[in-house]
Amino acid sequence: MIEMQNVTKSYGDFKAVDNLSLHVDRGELLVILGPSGCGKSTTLRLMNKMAERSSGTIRIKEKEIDSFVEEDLRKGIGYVIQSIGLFPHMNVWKNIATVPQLLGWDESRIDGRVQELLLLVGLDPDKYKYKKPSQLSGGEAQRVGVARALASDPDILLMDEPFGAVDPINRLRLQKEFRQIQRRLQKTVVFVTHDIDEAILLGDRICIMNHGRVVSIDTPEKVVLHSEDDFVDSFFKGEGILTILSRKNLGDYMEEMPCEGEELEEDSTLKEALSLMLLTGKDRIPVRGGSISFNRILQVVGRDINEKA
Amino acid sequence: MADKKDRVLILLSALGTAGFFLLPLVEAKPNRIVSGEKLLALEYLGALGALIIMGWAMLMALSLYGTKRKDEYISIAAIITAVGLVVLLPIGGGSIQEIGANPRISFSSGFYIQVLFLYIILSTYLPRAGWRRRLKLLLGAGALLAMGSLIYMGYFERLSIIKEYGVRQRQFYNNLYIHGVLTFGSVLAGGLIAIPLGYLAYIKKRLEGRIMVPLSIIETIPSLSLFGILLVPLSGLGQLPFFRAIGVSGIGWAPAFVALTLYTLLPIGRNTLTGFHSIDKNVVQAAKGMGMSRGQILKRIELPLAFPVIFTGIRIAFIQTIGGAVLAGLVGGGGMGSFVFLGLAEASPDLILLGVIPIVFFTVILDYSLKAFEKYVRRVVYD
Amino acid sequence: MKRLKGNMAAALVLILILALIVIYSREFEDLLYRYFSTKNTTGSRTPLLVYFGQHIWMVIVSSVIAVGIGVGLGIFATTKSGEEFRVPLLKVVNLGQAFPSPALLALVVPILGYGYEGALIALVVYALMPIVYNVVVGIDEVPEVVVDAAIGMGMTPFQLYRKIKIPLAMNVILGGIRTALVINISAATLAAAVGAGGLGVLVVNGVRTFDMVLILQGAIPVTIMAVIVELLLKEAQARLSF
Repeated sequence: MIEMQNVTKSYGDFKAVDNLSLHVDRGELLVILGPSGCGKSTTLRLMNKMAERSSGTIRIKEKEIDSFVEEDLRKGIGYVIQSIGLFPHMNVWKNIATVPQLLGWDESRIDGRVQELLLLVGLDPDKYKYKKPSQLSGGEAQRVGVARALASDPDILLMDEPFGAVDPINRLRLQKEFRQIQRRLQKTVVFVTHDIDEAILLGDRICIMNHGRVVSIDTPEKVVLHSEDDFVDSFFKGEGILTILSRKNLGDYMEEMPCEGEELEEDSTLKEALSLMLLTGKDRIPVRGGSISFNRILQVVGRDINEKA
Repeated sequence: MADKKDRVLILLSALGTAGFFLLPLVEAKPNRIVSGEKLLALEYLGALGALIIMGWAMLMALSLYGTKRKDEYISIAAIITAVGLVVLLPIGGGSIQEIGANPRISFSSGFYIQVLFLYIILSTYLPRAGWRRRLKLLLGAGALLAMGSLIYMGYFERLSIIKEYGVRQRQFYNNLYIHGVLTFGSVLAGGLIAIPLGYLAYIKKRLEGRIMVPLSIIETIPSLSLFGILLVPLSGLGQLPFFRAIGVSGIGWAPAFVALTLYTLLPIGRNTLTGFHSIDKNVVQAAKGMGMSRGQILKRIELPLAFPVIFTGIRIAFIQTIGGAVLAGLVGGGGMGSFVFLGLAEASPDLILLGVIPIVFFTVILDYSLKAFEKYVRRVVYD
Repeated sequence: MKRLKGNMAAALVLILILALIVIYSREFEDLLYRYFSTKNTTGSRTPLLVYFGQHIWMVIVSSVIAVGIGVGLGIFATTKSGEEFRVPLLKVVNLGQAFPSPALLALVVPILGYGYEGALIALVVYALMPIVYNVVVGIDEVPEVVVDAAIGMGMTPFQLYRKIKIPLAMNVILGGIRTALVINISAATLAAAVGAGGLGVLVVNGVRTFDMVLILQGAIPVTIMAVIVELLLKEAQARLSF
């Protein structure tokens, strides 16, 4: 879906992006992770031509990026930024309706879409439709931002630290909900962040950048558990494994052996199961339809660790 | 960088050059009464005009072909052209002999246009030039000094504006003095009234509307109307012995002074209020917590912190008042406005200019120095 | 909300009063005579309506031209291609501010002669300053993140201006127009001194002959006009900004 080959972006002598190559498949959520100033935001902005590359090739949907008219390219890509940038003089409805209006959709189609999207991001349409941005909390505003980006049903979503400005409690909620949304919609998403847990939670693959270069691109498991790079190691500092557990649902790994006690749901994560084990001192926890044991968790992680990188 | 065409400079220099060739540079009269003949630059300057043409050509060239130290070259070229224009004006060199034994030269549209565009060019590119600030200031001061001495030596004798000046010298300085007194006096009086009012509006929120709204209303009243309206009440006041003694009457300095003072109240008052409001409330809270009295808080904390903004208001009031004081000339209050309105009545552009040019000059100087002082104050307060 | 309604109400009342004064100018004059003794009993020969018409016409024409040119130039100076013109434009416009209004009016006389046309040009030039400055500043003040989001959505520059930049700058722009209009009404009063007619003629003549009635006949309508414009535009500002 998105392909970057040997792309460089220089500002004078400084290379913000240095001979970078990556690709994003259809329906994949690629997280670009790295410390401040590593060039991840610039990389993102190269994809919708908000920044112009100095050299290299970029292809969107198999077409050269230069062959698009800029504005048309961007109307087909959803763009969410950290400070959201909701239009302060328009209410929620009008904000979300912006791109559909630019595309010339008719009123009723737009209205239906706005309803649909507000529900998708977990906001009551009747309550929020006519609110102004100044009346929204940080979390609500960010949801509207996501809804706005999805309005024209683009195939690609570019997100630059979208949940960064939200308080930690809401941030976790938003991340989980976004994960659900992505499961449903299967958009192609490029997600920039410097938050490790967020990256591991959301990404199908993680691309780690430093000094404008790609250090490593792979699945979270491989990157966290099998990295061959000191930088990556120091980045995760051995803690990523817990977050990797939070990517895995009990439904996928549970055992059939019955067990007594209060049950966890199937869509709870291995991390929650492990936490419960630590809390109760038991090494087997009941799950609806079965159970999960500590050994089983070790097996799953072990399999991950022992998998060839 | 070398190949970029400078569209701004192209436009400005093209227009300036057009002004040189197409518009009359001066109007030459044999004496004060007879209407003069408008002469194009080339007619009037003759061969000497080549200097000016060279200047404009340099500017046009610099606009089409950039070089590394472009801003410096442009500034130099503009200065040369301007100096050339000013210096050559009284000399002529072309047909000046035919006009008469004692020709009077006054500026015409071509001169104004060229000066205008040279001003725009200089004010845009000189700040960008790499010379030290002190050097630029020195340059400016030197230019002024040179101009002043030339005027004093009678170099510009032929210019009709100088002739007017020559005839009315005492009046000129008298008017200048009155204008200055009016300006500074009004701003001072306005400050004495408006700053306390602004402070009052700050500490007593409910009075804010009642203080600020009348001031805004005053500001809306057209200036001439206010001058006129004050006529009768002040003349009435002037009947009383005390006021008559100090010269209060319907005409003269009184209506001008009162009106100008009233107009300064809004900028100063509003800025005082804003200035006090801009102080971080926590600072005041901390001071209260330390046990400072109201007066101490005002003196040590609030006034110093609010002062930069208040000073901006005073600066605005100054600039506003220098201009407004011109109207005093209409009500017999003296000042440079007398020349302006006299010139209008007598259809003498030179007299009008005699009033206007000093005002513009002082406005620019005052604005510049007050802004510099403001920067200094801000640095002292906040660092 | 209450204060806004107050603005409209006050403006309407004033418009009514102004209309009455202009239409029944004879009665207005007699009213003034009764309260202010005068030296001359001639009053004004030309009906107030004529002066009023001249005045309003000058203000409207010069304002429309100034708004048209000013907004256009101001917007241009904020675009990518106009960026380099911004500094010179602001310098020119600032220069106009250094000239007090009577001076500017007086200066066009030697160039364009006495009368209506010259005054009009001076009025336009003088009104340009607050308009251009406010347009540029207002558009600059639109938050960058909002502009970034809008461009990221695929708005063309034209759409960006129409939907985002101008609506968000509207408050400041209207403030500039308001200032310009009020200045214009005041300056048009002075236009009388260069032979352009208008209510200023009454004031100037009144000052010359020390006739309070004449002065008030000119000063009162002008002041009311200025206050009306100020109130109406304040209202417009409140309604049109977000």
